Amino acid sequence: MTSAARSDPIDSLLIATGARLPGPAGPREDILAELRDGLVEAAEANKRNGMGHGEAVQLALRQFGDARTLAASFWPEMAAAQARRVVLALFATGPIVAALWASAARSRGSASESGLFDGGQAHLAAALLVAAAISCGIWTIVATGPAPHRMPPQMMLFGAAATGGIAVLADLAVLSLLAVPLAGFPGPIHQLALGAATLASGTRLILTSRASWCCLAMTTTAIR
Amino acid sequence: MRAEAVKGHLDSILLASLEAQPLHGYAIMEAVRAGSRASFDLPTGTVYPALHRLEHAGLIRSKWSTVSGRRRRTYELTERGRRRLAEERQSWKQFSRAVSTLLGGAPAGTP
Repeated sequence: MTSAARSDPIDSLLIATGARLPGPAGPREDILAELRDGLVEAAEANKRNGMGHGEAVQLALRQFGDARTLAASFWPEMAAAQARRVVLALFATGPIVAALWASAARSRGSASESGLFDGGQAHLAAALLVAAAISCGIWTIVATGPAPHRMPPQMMLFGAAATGGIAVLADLAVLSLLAVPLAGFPGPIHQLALGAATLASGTRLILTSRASWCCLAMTTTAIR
Repeated sequence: MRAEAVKGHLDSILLASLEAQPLHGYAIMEAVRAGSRASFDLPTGTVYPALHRLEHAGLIRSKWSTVSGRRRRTYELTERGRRRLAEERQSWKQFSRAVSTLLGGAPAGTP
């Protein structure tokens, strides 16, 4: 293919289509690359049928449809990819954050939880963590299995956003219930472990909030 | 022919188009158009998402290559896809024979 064949109208359509496809960059780039290849192939085929370059490209563009139509057809796929990315990230980071908090708790030099938090707080934190873990597990299975192609994309996004919301609550509970009492124990190793756990939970909290919000925002782009 | 008429058979048509050889997306659309004597002109927005869905279901697989400086995704049938195609073909023969009988035409596949 010559550079002339990769004409501006094709680039314009792909840019407009990409702008209407929110979600993870990887799947979007793959979709746009595949569309570009198809558009160029269509234009080349039209040229082989005797058309001039400009006419061949314009016909290829009409054959593929406008940016709105193309984006609408790929939106469910992008929604599933976004939901999958959120729940997989939560599923992968959950054990890491839990392990960091466990090491922070152990490094304080006391084997029991006495003086760390009261029973009610422990039950609340445990309930939130269990809810987050169960929700994550269920939605990881749903998002990575064949279900995304059968389930309405909006439901996938709402499910991922809800899972993220529960994880945010769980992270907030862990931060508020563990960070403050653990800070009262001395020792550089303990403080280092506590700092790592707090940083991990805080980072996860921010990223999960953003990702969950993105899921909710994507549902509105589908309605528009 | 209207795209809606093909909708229920889209997966089978796409699987059949890949039976002989691996093809990229546009080549698949062309193969369907040529194979149906231009009766089926599948919309782009239908074909690519359907291909991705079939890949997710394990019926086809894709691989990326670079052709003339641009990325190309080529699809091929998996063993599972071949088995599904054989089942769909058998099912279609039974269905078309029954409908042909009901409509009063000659049953498909009869001499």
